[in-house]
Amino acid sequence: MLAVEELVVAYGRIQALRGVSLTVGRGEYVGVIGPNGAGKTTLLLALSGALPVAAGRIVLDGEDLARVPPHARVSRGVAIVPEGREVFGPLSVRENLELGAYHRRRTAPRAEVRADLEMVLDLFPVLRGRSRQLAATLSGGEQQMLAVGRALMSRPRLLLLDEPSLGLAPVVAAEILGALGRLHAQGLTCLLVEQDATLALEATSRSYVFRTGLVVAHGSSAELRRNPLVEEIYLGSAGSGEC
Amino acid sequence: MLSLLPLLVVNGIVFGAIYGLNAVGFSVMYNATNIINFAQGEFLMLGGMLTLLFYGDGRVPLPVAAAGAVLATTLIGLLIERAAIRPLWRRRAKDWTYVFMLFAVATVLPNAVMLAISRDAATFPAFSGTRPLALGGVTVAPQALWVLGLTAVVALGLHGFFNHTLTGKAMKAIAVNRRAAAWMGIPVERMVALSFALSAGLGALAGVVVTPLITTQFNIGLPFTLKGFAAAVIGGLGNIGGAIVGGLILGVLEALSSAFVSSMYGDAVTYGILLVILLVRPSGLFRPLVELTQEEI
Repeated sequence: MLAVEELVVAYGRIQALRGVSLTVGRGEYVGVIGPNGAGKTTLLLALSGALPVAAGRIVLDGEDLARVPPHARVSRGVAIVPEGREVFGPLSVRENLELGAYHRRRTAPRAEVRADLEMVLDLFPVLRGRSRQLAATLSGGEQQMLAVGRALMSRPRLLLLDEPSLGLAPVVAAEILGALGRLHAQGLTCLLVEQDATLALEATSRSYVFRTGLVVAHGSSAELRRNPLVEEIYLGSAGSGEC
Repeated sequence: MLSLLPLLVVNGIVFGAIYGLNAVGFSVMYNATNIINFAQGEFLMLGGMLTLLFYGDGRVPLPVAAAGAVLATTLIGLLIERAAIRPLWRRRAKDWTYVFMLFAVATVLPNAVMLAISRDAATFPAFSGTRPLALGGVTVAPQALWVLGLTAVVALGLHGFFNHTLTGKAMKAIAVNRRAAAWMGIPVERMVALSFALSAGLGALAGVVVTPLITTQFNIGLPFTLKGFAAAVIGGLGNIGGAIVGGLILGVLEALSSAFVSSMYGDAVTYGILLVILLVRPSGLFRPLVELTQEEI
């Protein structure tokens, strides 16, 4: 479904991705792990169009996305749950979700969008009681749920997830990852970027390990859990917790 | 003097409505882009001057000339966005760059109008004659009712637009977070263009209804820019209802201070009060429609 080929992304003269290749098959749940500064977020920003590509290709179902402007990528089926959630704080929860379906405003019947809204509110019941509340007044976990829900409203074929557990209480993170797991079981293709390797390798079936802008290992997540390289990469940060 | 009070207040309200209409133009653009449009008053000037040009002492029916002027001003707004704003936007220029760019536009436009149309003050007939209407104890020019009616329609229409249409909400989303808005599939540049078209069209409309009351000239834009901006800030920049209320406060204050203090000090009193309001409530009297947190800025 998605093939990233020799992708180079640079911030000025600094290359954050130095020729990364990876694939995501239809219906797969793929992880990208690695320490801070490995280029994980850069990958998702390039895929979603927020960062320009210096070299290489991003091919989605045969189409090179490099020339597709960011706002048009969502209608190609790519949705992102960004790091830091980036919900529209001064807008209500409901408005945030409605905007998630913006690209479908001419193609989808209203009833369909309403049904999707119900689906999201069923997935995260806590949002139902807060639908008129401003997004900025939600807790971190609720904002994360809103960010996931907003992305789902676009009916994505490929969902990009950037550290959805970051800064959340373990029980809340588990709830969100559980919901994503259920969506994946229903056929949604996901690409999960996580600094917390344990979490990511448990959730996904296949993963790539990033380090300083390169893929240094990939394989089934079960295998990678036993891979000494992964342990070595994380040894420095192990025990210090996420921050 | 006190017997004049009702008349003064009514006059203040009428001028306040015009300031409010102009303030609404500021708010629309601010809601979509966070840009303060220092050419806003020029749209008002264009609305009046272009109507005059097309009307030409009755060659063309007034409603047609007015519609043409509003349309032409809207197109000029789009042109300004395309030629002066979008290049800056694409390079993510600092906010103050836009202010100066629009200030430059606000200087060029009146000069162009002076050279191309006329340097004289002029006016066209009021829409419904000039026979004053008696309302309670005060007499009002019919044109003043046009001003008030238009203000009410515009305020209600925009309130509905920003709160009940997906396009309006998308505009607010762009002001909050341009990148996330694009992720939703919102065509950011097209929305910015739309906000310019809206502000320009609304400004021109204000110019059309106000001209029979005050006459118009190439150089009336700047004072309206300043009053409109002041009204928008008093009301909470970006809040549509607040912009109208801010305009009304400003208009009434101005009318009263001109009558009871001195017309010479009218502006000093008005802006003095603005100063006090800002010191007490820096974000204006009402909550802005798009209230950005420090993080989002």
